[in-house]
Amino acid sequence: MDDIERLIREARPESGTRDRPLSARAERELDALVGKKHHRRVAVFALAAVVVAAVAIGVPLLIPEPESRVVAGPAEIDPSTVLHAAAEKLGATPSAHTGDEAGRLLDGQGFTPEAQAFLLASIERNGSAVRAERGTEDGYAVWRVTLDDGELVIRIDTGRIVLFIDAAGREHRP
Amino acid sequence: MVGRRRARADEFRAFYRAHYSVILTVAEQRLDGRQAAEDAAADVFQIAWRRFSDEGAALSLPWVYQILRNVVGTEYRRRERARRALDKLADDPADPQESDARVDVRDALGRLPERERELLFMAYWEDLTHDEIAAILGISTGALRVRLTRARSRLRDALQPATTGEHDGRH
Repeated sequence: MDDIERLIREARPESGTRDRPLSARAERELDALVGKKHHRRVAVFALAAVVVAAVAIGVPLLIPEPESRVVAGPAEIDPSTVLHAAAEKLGATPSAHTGDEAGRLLDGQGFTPEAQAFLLASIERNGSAVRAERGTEDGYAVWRVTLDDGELVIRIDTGRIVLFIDAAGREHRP
Repeated sequence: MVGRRRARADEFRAFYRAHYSVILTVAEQRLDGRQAAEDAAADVFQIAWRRFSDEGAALSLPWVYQILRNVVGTEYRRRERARRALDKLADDPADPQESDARVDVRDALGRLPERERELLFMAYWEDLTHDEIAAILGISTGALRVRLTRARSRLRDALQPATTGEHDGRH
């Protein structure tokens, strides 16, 4: 170790090290993550069905509070669940497509419900959604879905994208 | 089918146990506090599990390291509460716990080009081995050693002006 390496190591901010054992939280999260997978697809479709049914009969209160995401905060839900449910409501099909839909969103051209559904399904598949939280926008209950490079705001009742905030903080409304 | 699913789950469990602590350590170095780091690590492995189980992604440290970078980047944008450890320290240079030398080194690190600063962080703050860093960067360990030598040299140069300045100031 030369003098510069020693200086850098001595300037290291306080934190744990990689040789520490897994915490109780980490163990719980692993169990929840791997254990719940077997039922995940069923849960996704069940959630989508409940939301659609609740909207159809006009009883918003039937929409369940999001199940606590064990590996994140209690107000959050797996973002892929949100995207999947929204895309289903908009009529997405799992056919192949590209990111062109995102361009259309930004350009405001041809951004039909079908295009939105394609976009949501695409984001779900490529895994760029990091987090989803409940919120309100213009008086409507929405999901705020944080992406690798921005944030999508999706109305819970319709599944429609109402706002996209890009990485620079600019707002785009279809 | 069930047996294969169980085998995949076991593979992920082994990967998680092998890499959770290093990912948490890196997150701690890049975010402001243990809680934020644990949240980020949880996000990382949730994304990793989804891509592994749904899309058949191959498990590797470079892959989850990149996911962590994305998560941390998103965290920076989404919440101003998360700042780089370096920025946080620069904002509070009067911390009596910090020696002058540590503050000088952190300031000098902050003046390096990002590529070299990141490399020094990875090598000396984030507990990554040289083999792991080389894999993350997609270079050979030989090339890594060359880059590290160059980065240390740049840091040495960055530390010089302060010393020279103090010296000159006395005259």
